Amino acid sequence: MLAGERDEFTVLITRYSDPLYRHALCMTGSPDVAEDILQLSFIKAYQHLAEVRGRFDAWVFRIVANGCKDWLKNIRRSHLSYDEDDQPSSYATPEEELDRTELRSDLDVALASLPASLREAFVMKHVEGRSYEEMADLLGTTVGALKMRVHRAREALQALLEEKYA
Amino acid sequence: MLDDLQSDGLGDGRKRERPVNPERPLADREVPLGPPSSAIADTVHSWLDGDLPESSVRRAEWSRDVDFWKRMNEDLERRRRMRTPAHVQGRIMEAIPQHAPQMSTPWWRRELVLTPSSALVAAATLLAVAVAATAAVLRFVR
Repeated sequence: MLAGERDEFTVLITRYSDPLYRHALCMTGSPDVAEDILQLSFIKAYQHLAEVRGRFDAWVFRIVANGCKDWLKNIRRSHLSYDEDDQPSSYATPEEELDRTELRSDLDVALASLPASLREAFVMKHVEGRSYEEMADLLGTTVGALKMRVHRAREALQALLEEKYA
Repeated sequence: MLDDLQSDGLGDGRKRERPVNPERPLADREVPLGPPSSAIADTVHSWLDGDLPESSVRRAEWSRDVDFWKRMNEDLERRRRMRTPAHVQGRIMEAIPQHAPQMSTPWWRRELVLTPSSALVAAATLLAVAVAATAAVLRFVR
């Protein structure tokens, strides 16, 4: 696999693209940008396969996470929308659907207002469902620091949204 | 003629009005956080971290927080199910090079392959170098 054979590389893309896409989408808020970051990251990974030491998924996650951070430093983006999977909506009525769209939009705005490091920690914890230990391993920081970031992110989000949603 | 590098000046002392863009990119709205106005109890954080069951936070003083996060979880749950759009994998495969990338290994880390013929050439080269060096040393001594 590490010899860089194209067909076998497809297996890696299939296996790891969903969590990486979710990370990029929640960090940037734009499906187009998330796709671009994912594409560039996998190309970079393919070109440097020989340099992988340790787990491929952790290595390629760092490439994607750095891609997101670089993009956030130079934001030039446009719209927000989401591609969802094919699962049926659990919201029955149009009112509930509207409510759901509003919550999505409000949470997007609130997430976007967080500093990148807090947004990253919150997304890794609450969207990607990672443990603090795994996050610390991936981001090269301590569990304590990450707990602090997640706590601060929650408190900031709650402060922004609780009036409407509590 | 020199270009006017001040893009918002009109050159006659007036300032050009900047167009107001109400559709500012969302991710461009990062603001410095002051002290959070909504402190969350450690117990609630522990519940959100999955370390405590919901029953342990179902108390009057935290019920507002619990309701809020259960509401947020409705959208977070949807985000957890998001998938990479189907066309992206094809796009990536089209974009990656057709041939395996060349490894750029420095010469001292490359594997040494010794065949009988290359061994003979190496031995002959070493012998020739040794003879030349000995001759040079002898000439210098005389």
